Amino acid sequence: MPNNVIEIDGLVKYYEGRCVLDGIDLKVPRGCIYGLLGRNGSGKTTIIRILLGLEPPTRGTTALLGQDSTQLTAQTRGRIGYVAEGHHLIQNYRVRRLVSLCKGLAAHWDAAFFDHLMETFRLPMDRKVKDLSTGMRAQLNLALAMTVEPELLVFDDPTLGLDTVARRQFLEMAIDLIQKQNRTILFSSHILGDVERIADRIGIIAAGKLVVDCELEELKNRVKKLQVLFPREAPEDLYITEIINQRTEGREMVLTVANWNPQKRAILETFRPESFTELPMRLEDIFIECTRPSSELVLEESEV
Amino acid sequence: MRTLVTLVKREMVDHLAYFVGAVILSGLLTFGVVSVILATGAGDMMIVGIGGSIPVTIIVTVGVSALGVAQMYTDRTRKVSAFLTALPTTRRQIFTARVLAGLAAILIFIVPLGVAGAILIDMHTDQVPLYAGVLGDIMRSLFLTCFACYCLGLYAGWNRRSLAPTLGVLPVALLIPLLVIIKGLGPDVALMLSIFIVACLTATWCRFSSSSL
Repeated sequence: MPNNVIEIDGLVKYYEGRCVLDGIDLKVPRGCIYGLLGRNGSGKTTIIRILLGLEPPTRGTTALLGQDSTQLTAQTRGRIGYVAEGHHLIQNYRVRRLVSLCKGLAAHWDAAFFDHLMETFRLPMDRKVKDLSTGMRAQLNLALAMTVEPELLVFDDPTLGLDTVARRQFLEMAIDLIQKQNRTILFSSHILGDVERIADRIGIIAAGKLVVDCELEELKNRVKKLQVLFPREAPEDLYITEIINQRTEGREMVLTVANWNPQKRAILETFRPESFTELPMRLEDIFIECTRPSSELVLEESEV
Repeated sequence: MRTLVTLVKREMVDHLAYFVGAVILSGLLTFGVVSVILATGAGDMMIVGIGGSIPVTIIVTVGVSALGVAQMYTDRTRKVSAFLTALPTTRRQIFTARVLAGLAAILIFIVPLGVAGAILIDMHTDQVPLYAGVLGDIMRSLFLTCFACYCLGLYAGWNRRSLAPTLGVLPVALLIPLLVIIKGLGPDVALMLSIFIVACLTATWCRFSSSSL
């Protein structure tokens, strides 16, 4: 059994001459809950679609559960649960028929669990999928993905289009289901609070590259936001590498630095600042800094 | 096997109108031919056959081509395969099931006609100057023509620009039965149609297996 459930090697994807993914390398080990972040149109969905064999890559290879994505067998697909962005179920089917189709194709089907979910969600079995609300479609999609007892769950922006209450319900249900069974999860979203609640490892895509790939706690430790106060005018350049963002206003400088360490601190102290304070950063702050067009951050585990 | 059966069943239920149409048309034709022959005698069989074959050919050609188009076009626009491949199925299974469903529709139409034809020929063999194996030739040509039109429909249906270019295939499909009418029922036509079918299926499979879902 392969240790890495997801493997992406040198993935490049062009759409109509535009480079969407520019050499993505990623490995997700078994049991990991991986949060894939990026702004709208950054290529998160494209990565997932290529992984699932729905989209051909321009270059590079991707593998799921040890099998090349372009050659996934029905058996391997049976070990994967997928909740798609926008929940593209077969819209003109009634819920009952869609469920029956999924049941007929599934390798494993936990009928009791599915019935429990249907009871919880109170989904109308006789209504057409297109007549369901977005929240109901999300719940149906989640129920179908979970009932097949997948080893790997792929959530592609599952809360997109849901209102706050439906989003909270969906996430609580998802967290509850995830915690019950030890499975690998790839969770893509641009709602960072959702990812922060679920993920234990984070990847951030910006400008077609995976600029961050490390554990959530490690990411919070490695990216620091500092408020530095100088006795006189702040210097123009601090000569510190890996500054993600820098803003100067008179004597005050606020800078975000990656891989903050004693060496960088020593360099900063040579400018004799009056004080410097570490400002707390949430994942959202880190994400905004990392995805700025000027940001050149690359944080990967190999650098540690 | 269970997967394939489920997928074939899905295709048939999704395109039920075509299957019902095939049953009705086959029934009407069988009933019509039997009634005319029983009423007027087998001597008029050829006249009935030639007179009735023109509208029937048009209906059948358009019908089977439309089935192929509908299967592929609705798949693309409704993202059916995108959903199915997220389940334990492969594109190969989806495509195979689709073709098997198409074959089933054609056989539903052809088999009753063949059975009725065999019985009628057996009953009136001394009155009609037919060569041995004529029914086999007719059925083979009919099957290959229908299947070729269906495959052309499959090929043309895999696009998402608009319905107009897809519907444009229907007049082209009418050229296929013309080939049989002009060239006859011989093995050379069977070979040409077989090559056309293989080419259409291969091209459709290449497009279907390599495109984004």
